[in-house]
Amino acid sequence: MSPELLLTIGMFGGLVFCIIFGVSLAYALGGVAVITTLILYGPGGLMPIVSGVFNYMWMLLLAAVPLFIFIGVALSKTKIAEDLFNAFYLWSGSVRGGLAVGSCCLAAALSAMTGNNAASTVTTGLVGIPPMKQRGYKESIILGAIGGPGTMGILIPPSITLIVIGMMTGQSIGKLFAGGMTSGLFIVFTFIIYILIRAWLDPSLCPAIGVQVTLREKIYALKSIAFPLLIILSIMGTIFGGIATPTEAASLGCVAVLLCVLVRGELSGKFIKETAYTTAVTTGMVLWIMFGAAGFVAVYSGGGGVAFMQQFFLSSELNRWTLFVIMQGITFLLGMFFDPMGIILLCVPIFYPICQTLGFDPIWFNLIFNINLCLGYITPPFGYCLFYLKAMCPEIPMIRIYESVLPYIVIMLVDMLIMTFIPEIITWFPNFIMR
Amino acid sequence: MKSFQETVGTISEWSGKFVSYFIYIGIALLAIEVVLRYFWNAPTVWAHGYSQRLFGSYFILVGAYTLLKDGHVRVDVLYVRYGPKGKTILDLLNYGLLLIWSTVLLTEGWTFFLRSYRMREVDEMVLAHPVYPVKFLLIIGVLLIALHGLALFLATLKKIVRGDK
Repeated sequence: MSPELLLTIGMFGGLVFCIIFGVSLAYALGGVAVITTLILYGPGGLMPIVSGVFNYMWMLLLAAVPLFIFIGVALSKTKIAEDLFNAFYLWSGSVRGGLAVGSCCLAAALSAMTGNNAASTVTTGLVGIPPMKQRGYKESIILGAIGGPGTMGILIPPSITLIVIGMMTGQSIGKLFAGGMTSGLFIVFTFIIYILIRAWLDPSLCPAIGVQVTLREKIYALKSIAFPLLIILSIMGTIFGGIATPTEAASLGCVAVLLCVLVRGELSGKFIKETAYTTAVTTGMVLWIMFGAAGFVAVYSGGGGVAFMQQFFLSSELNRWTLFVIMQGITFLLGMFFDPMGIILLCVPIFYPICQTLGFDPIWFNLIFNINLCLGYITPPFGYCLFYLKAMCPEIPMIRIYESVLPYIVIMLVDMLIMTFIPEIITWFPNFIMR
Repeated sequence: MKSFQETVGTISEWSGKFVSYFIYIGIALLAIEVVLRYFWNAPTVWAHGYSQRLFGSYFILVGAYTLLKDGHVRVDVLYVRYGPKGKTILDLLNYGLLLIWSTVLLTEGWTFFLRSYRMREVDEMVLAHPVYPVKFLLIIGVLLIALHGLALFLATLKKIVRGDK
């Protein structure tokens, strides 16, 4: 057995062991890196573990992570999302399954304002679940219509995973965001079609609301779109317009949110404090995983592991599409257990050079990879969004939550297949907007 | 013993809350830079350099606060199935790995800082301001989480020795 293979089995085996027995991903990554270094080189080789941490601290692009988290936290503490859902409710409530469609749209809109899945899933759930329950929607429809579209938080820009992928591959964040937007909207569109078909097949699943809403009321409700639109434009407009870097755009988004909160009269000392505290805790979680992964990857790469894995894939003489399926399959499997940030930091250094050697479009490849990470949020046993759903509906057994999101996992896999055969769904907008 | 854990908890709480507010300074710095550049065509040389320093420090300093608030998420699929004793052992593994890692970050971080301080390292941008203060804050951030990790580790160990539930 070659030493690199031994290193791979040792490090990844140790990591998986730690994770399964409940060690935090950050500590597991850092701890395994330290132990491996001590075995291989002794205490003299430990420096890369700390210099890797500093590299990430010194990366201004990463400042976008807490800023996008901030926007999500701030939005969840206001009633902006509630008003938005109300507008969707008035416009689509009279259709069978209309509230579920409204939830999809709300999740997409929140995804376009925030960078992670916590905000899109939890806020959509808190706002969308009560009215759907009240109208007699079945739980499988309710939970699915929140869990599935909620994962678009890291696909529809801004997205903290796309930022980290861009950082690691050197690809333009603007292009990645543009591709994330079209592919994300496409996926939401397929979700909506699915809900409408199910509602049409089984009327008892999600009845329409009986009340007739006048056009006047509908148009009046549109005013609640103004705030979200301002926030989205301040972020995406400045990035796509070439006015601001992604980090600066994120800060403009924060300013826009704070302004909206101020105008709505919801700004208070409590809001300012709690938003800052919650943002700090979530940022600490994400960044410390990156700090741990920095050491882990430095040690693995220094021991020849990364080169070994690339060699292993490329010399296998498999068809490029077979390799593509294997890489996505590994990502999918890892997604069932690992945090997406950890998967990016572990897999991208190995996969991305292979993708380049095989001649895949880098933007397209990274986005398919990112959609795969979205799936990781709702694949059992450990998908974060499943736990968010469970926390919001404690009375529903976990197995029912798995069943509710299963169709959405299948739809997303089919969507990935479609986007593999029609890559233009992902690539036309990035190419259109940026030369 | 109890008081050590309490002291450390208080330090994590207050340092974390204090550092949390950095985000507002960061938002202001970056937004001002865009406004100055876009409307007045007068970009600053310091806004990016200092947001970089601010956010870098923020990242490392919030680690202990995240630990205090139980924010370093764990996969608890197996964990929840164990009894109190099993859970204690798993906690020991969790905090033990944190301690191993943070001890290394602390000792190596010190060397890392000294090296930078001795040569008065500056950044490679036009700004050319010192980099070592951020490397010093790296040590502080790691010290905070290491102390908190040590307190939790000792508390868990005590449970095992005493045989508490």
